[in-house]
Amino acid sequence: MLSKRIVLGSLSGAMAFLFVTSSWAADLAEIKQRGEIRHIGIRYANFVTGAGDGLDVELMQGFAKRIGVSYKLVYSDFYSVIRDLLGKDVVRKDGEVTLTGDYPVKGDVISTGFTMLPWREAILLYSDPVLPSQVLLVAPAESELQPIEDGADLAADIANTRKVIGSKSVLVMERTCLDPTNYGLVNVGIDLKAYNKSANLNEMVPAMLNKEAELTLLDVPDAILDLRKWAGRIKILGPISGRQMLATAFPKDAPALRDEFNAYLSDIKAAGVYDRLVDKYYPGIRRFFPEFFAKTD
Amino acid sequence: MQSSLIRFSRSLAPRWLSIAAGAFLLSMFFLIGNLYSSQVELRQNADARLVSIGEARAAEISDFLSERRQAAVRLAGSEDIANYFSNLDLGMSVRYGLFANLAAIERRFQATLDEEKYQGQLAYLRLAFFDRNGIAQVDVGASSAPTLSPTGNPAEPSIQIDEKRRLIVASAPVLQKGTMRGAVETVSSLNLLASLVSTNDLGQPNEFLLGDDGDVLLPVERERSPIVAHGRALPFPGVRKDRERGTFTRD
Repeated sequence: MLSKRIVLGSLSGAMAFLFVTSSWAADLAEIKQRGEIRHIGIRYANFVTGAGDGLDVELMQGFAKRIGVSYKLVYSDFYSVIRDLLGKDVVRKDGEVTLTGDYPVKGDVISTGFTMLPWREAILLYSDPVLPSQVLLVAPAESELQPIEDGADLAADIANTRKVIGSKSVLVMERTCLDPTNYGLVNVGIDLKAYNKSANLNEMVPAMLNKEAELTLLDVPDAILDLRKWAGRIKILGPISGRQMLATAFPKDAPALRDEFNAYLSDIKAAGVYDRLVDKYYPGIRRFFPEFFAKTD
Repeated sequence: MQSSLIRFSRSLAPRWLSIAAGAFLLSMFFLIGNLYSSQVELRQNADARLVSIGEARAAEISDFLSERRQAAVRLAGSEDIANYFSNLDLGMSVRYGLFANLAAIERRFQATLDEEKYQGQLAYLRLAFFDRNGIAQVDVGASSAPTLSPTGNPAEPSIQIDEKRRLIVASAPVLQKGTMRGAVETVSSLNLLASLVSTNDLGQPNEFLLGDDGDVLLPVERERSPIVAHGRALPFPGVRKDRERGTFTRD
């Protein structure tokens, strides 16, 4: 009887240990001790292609090698990606961000072309910028709307683009970089259509071409790919947002991990590895953001 | 009958020396004639062989030039350039849209520059895509390798040889729905053809590539050739020279 209790006790202790270690987001020391880093990624553009590669996949594989641990890719989506990192759900209400509930922690780091947004920065630690971005307004080629002319400054370009929308419907995706609340598009008379068939941003253009809305939002990394994929079928009307930065996100209690990643990013920029990865996955982005890449050249 | 034969032979006896000399002369003439005709034949064969080698060499050079021209045509007709003009027609600006197409063209050009080789050497020094106004929208490779303004019909692919700068410039128009919307130019080094001009065991040239005025294009550092001062023009057909600029153009 006693031995049975001991066995059961040991088993439950082991289970509890396993649960605790698997549900904690860890800092650098714990990850090194565990011997594995879990990279949370979303199949999106060329950041995480879903075929085992992508800009962020190669970045994190290199980082895993640097800190001497094995690499594991954990797939997620834009709705649950923060929950998968923090084990808490995010609720945004009246400008406040709160974390609620308890969920399994599935990874140690989000690296997936993740936009640095103020509300996200309130609950996450971000690395130095990995890539610049911007949100653009896109229409089908046959739309009577005309692209704006390049203005003197970005603010004027954004204002002109917003004017173009008029009464047209715009496809958006909440809780992503295409969330209209990030760009002041809510409650200003714009006909917003939330795309919720999936959390895959790659489906925005096909959905628009399928007449689910007259226009859609698209970020620059995706636009680079879609302008080739849908050449002659879509047109960019202009910018909806200012310059944004995409970066790798860590839990607030993993500063050493973040700092080590920043050091790694700095080193691969100096060694030219970063430039090769950018050219491999986003050829052309240098032309869009020359000022950002001038610093890294 | 018998007595007449005897009389005839007796009458020849005092002239036997002349007869022998005549026979000898005849045989010598025959031998000399034979020797001469053999020499003529040998020379004709040697000349024919030289002409044949020259023609083969000219064909190789012609093929090289055709390849450069075809490459320019291929790049001008690429999907990336077609996409650029499709998006330009939709009204997109370079900043918001066309940058992606230009980057795709740049990537294609860079891959061509890096990968296409001729006898182990890079086939191109520079590749450029010009819009209708002659402004370079994409330009990869050595910017010190100048492009040339087309001298012939810009709506047709052409080849120019810049003798002074030792460059071969191929140009092809970008055509869409029958309208010329731009051009692609490829720039190669004339020295790429050096391997086609043979030398003897001492490294001295056996063959020369000549301009139509007798200027030696290859091997390098040879002055005007006296051999062909009154010879034929360039050994490859269809290439003409722009005398003002010292360039040759292939129709």
